[in-house]
Parts: sequence; C-alpha cells; structure tokens
Amino acid sequence: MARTEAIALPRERQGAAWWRTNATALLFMGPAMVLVLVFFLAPVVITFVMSFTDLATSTGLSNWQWIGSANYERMFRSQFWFTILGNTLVYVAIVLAFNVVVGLGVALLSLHVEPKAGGVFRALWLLPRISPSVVYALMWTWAAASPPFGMLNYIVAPFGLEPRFWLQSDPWLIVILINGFVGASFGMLILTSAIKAIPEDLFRAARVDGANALQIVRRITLPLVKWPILFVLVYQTMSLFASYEYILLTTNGGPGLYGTETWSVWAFHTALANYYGNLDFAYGAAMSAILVLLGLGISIVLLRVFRFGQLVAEPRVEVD
Amino acid sequence: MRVALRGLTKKFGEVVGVHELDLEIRSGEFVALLGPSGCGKTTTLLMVAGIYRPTSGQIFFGDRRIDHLLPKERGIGMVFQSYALYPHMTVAENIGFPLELRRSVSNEERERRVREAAALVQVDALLDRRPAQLSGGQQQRVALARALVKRPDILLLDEPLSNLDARLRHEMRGEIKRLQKEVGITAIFVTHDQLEALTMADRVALMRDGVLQAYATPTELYARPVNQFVAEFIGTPPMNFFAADLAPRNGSLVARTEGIELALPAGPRGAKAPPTATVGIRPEHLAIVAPGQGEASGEVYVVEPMGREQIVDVQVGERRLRVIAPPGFVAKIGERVGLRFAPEQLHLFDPASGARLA
Repeated sequence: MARTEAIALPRERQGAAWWRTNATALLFMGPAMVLVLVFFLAPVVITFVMSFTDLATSTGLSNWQWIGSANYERMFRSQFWFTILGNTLVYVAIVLAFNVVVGLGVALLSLHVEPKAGGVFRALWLLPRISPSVVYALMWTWAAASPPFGMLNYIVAPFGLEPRFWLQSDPWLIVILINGFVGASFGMLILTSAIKAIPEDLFRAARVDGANALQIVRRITLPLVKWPILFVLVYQTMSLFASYEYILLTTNGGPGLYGTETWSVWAFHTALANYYGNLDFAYGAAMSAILVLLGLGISIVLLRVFRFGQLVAEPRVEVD
Repeated sequence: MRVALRGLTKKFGEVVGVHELDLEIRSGEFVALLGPSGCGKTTTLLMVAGIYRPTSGQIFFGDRRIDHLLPKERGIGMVFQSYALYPHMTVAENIGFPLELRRSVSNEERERRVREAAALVQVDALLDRRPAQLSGGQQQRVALARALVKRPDILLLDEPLSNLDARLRHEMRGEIKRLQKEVGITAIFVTHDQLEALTMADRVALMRDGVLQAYATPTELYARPVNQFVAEFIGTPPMNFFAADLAPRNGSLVARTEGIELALPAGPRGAKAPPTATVGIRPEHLAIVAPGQGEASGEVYVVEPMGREQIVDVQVGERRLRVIAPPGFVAKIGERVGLRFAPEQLHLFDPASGARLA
C-alpha cells in the first residue's frame, strides 16, 4: 500500500515515503549489515588503502606518506616473489586435493560401514580440528622430530626407511599432512551430511536398476553432492590461501630461505614478525591485497567450472 | 511370473516387521499389500525387491528361489513412493539408466526402448526435461517407464499414488491398472488406502502387525470379512459394530442389546453358540424407516450429505450407528427414526478373538 501511494506523491515527499516503507527492513538488517561492514568489508578496504602508503614501525602512525604503487613494484622486483608464489600454488593445490579427496573418501567409507562404527571413525577424524592449533602443531613437530626421536621414524622403520629429521628433510610433506588432516575433517563433515541428505530411495532405485556400489557412488552420489563439493573447494581454497598458522608453528617458512614460505606467511613475516624489527605494515598489506585478488580470481574460475548459474537455476514446473 | 512367499519373516532387532508370511501370486496377477502403517507391507515389498534381507523364509519367482539374489539379479522393476527419480538426469537418462548399466544393450537399442517406454506412459514429449521440471503425475509416469524399460518379470509399486492429489490419484489408479493388464506383468503394490487396493487389485493381502489377516479378491474381502479387523479396515464409511447377547428362540438365534433386537437368519454353525458376539453391519445395509418400525430405534445425531448419498449417524441408546441414506432423505437432528437391518448382511465376530462366527 505504502509503495503505491508513494508514486502519487510529489517528488520532495517521495524520500520520506521511501523511508517509511523501508525503515523496518533496514532496522532489522542493520545489526547484520554493521557486522559485515566492520568485520568483513572494512579490513579489505583498509588493507588496500594501506598498501599504497609506507606505514611501518619506522614511520609510526603519524609520519606515513602516500607512495602510490611503490609497495607493489617492490614486491614484484623482489627475487623471491616467484618462488613464494610457486610455493603458495603448490601448497594450496596439494592440500586442497588432499582435503577434498580424503574428506570425500572418509565420508563415503564411514557411511558404507555399520552406522556406529562410521560415527566413531568420523569422530576420530575430527580430533585434529577440535584440538587447539598450537597443541596439534606441536604434536606434529614432535612426531617429526629428529632421530632418534619422532614417532614418524618409528612408523616408517619397518618399511626400511632411514630415520630422519622430517621437518628438515621433507618439510613439504609435513606441511601438507598437517594442513591436510585438519582440512579433511571439514570436507568430511560437509560431505557426510550432504550424502546423508540424499533420499534413501534413490540408492534403492539405483540398486534395483542394476547399479553396483561403485556405479552408485559415481553416477548417483557424486553428481548429487556436486554443490557441497564446490562449496568445500571454494571455501578451502580461500582459507588455504590465507592460512599460515601451521606453517608458522612447524617450519616457520624454512628450512633455508623461504623453503616453505607461502604468500600469507610472507605477508605475516613482513608485516608482523620482521627479522629486522621494522614491521612493514604497508608492504605486508600490499602482499595481502594480492592474496585477496588471487583467492577471488580462483574462486570465480571454480564457480565457472562448476557452472554455478545452472546449479541454482529456477526449475520449470508445469502442472498437468 | 508366479511369486511365492514361504514363511517370510523380517525382524529389526527384537521388533518383528513381518511374521511367517505365506503368499502365492499367480502369473499376471495384480496383488495389493494393504494395511495400516507399520503393518509390514512395505517391509514385505522391500524383501521381494531384495533391498531387505529376510530374517527367515523363502521367496520364489517361478520355480527359482531368489531370496539370496541381489536386486538387479531378480528381474524386477520398482516404483518408489517418492518416485526416486535421479534429479541430475533428464527424463530420457532416468528411463535409460537401467539399460545403460547393462553392457548387452547397445546405444541404439537403448534409445529405442526408452522412447517405447516413454510412449507407453505418455511422457515421450518430456524426454529432455529434468524431474524438477515435471509435475507429480508426470514424475509418476517417468518412474513407471523406468521400472518397465528393462522388461522385468515382476513390477513392484510402493504407495504409487500417495503423493498425488485426489483427482490425479483417481486418474492414475485407472491408468496403472490398465497398464498392468496391457503389459501382462505380475505386479505387487503396497498401499494403506483400502479404496486403492479394492479398485486396482485382483487380490488383496491385508496385513496387521506383520501378520497376514486376509488374502482374497476385493469382493470376497468386502462381503465376507474373515475377522473384525478386516471388516473394520475395508469399507468407507466403516462397518458398524456393537456387542450383543445371543439367545436361542424358536430354533434360531436372536441378538439382543439395548434398543436393538435382531433375529439371526442363520445362527453360528456348530453345536453351541457363544453367549455374546460382536455384531457388524455396513452402513449401506441399514435403512432408515419410520419410528417404531425396523429392528431398532434412535434419533438422528448428524446428517452428512455427500451428493450421491447421505451419511446419517443415528444415536441408538449408548451407541451411534452410521447409515447410508438416499439423497432425498430429509431429517432434522434429534428426530426419532427407526432402523431396518438387512438380515442377510449381518456379520458376527467372536468378541475375544475377533474371528468370524457367521
């Protein structure tokens, strides 16, 4: 009603009418909008703005200046950016694959065994996620400790592998496993509930139609959890690009110069844990800005690949 | 193909789903498994389909024992209550799926048979649609086509009509019955709706609490229910029941209770009649007559016009009897009326066991 009246009103009163119509909606959405603005949008904007200054410990909050794209030029003139980008892409790709494949595998396996056993199995896979990050990382550092210690050394001994200091000799393996096992539980949770949500009748119908277990997984289950898989993929891509805590707590970017340094660890080291003591906030912000763009770009590609538009398309229903 | 169930039993832990079920289905017969929810009818169907493994007992298709076989080895087609169409496949892909899983069927043959099956249930214009783009009735037809495309020996239908609206249900009822006879396939369908069972099936197996109560043609089931449960379950509006004392009079029996006195034309056979019985009579076998006439008298409690007929509840003493009256019948609530019982249509049941006495 209010809307139709507004059309008939003189122009200067239309603003007031608009407010009357939408005030309630705005009031209800207000708190959520404030949260999104303050905690999601503002940090991104601040990061981008900051990346065009020289803000650092040395300038303090008062003496900084606009320096244009100097931070970006410096970044891409650095002899390490390419190595670090490579590290990042390899890290994200392998851990992502581990997360999704293992998560899906655990979800499928745990749903194909006796329900109670499956539940226990899934609970075990959740342990890395529910233990505090630092504790989990410390356990890995100890498990991968130098000989004669380290649980890993004991595990591989029967296979004839020489005991070694894993964090030094195979840093990527440790970095991928520590992140992979945590991340797999996320995929497992999402995909387990997604598979459980598929009506039982579809599996029964497929069995009557003549499909075996493998054919059911490939032809029925996987296509029907395509959307949750896409969600896990995109979400994990984003969080992996931004993740740094386990690398920081185990290899700290090493061994050597930037051995396992990823882009986010680089940004962290530059902005917040600089070796030289001059915390280069603005330069770190520029690195983070690149990370945001990278994550965004790859997510868009993933959405395209999965044809997101088709997934959420309106069904055409015709009543006969 | 002939189907035989022998002592079929399914237990879920301690709970008995189906108990010692014996059932013979003739080749080409259309049989309904009927009963209230939880009676074991769907469990039975899923055992025939091979989705549930029987706890004990045997299933034969023809002379072949099949209860150890996988669903795909049994030569069955099945329509699920939810239709269970694969939402990510088109109609053609859905119908073709069972054939696609068979190496022996070539692509050309598959396409031809998909078109044939689709034409049989009149969905050939919808082949490139997805299930979400179909109405309930169309989904039902696609599910039928998918069940029939591999030319199964036996067609199983689980509550095939329960997800359709009333008008469509009526239409599909006839459609499925015609299709079953046309294809000549042995078919078993599960329903909780006695009207569906009576109208569609050649024979109805009525179950309760996992136990078979009756297995007969719709006519027999209706006209001569073997126990009180069957009498109660079959027929709308349901049969009227009341407890009565039986007493001999002039070599025959009289059933007597407050306000009603009925001479029984043929008393319970055997030497001695029990002292009491549950008397049952269907609403259409009662007629409203002038007060003082008939075997009982009471007053009109409520009148429900149904168009073709009216349902009149008559209060007789403590109990209420339901009567079907012609559309022209006019009565006010509270009006005194008499009731005439059609003498040949009385059913007597044992008050304790519910078994039929006469």
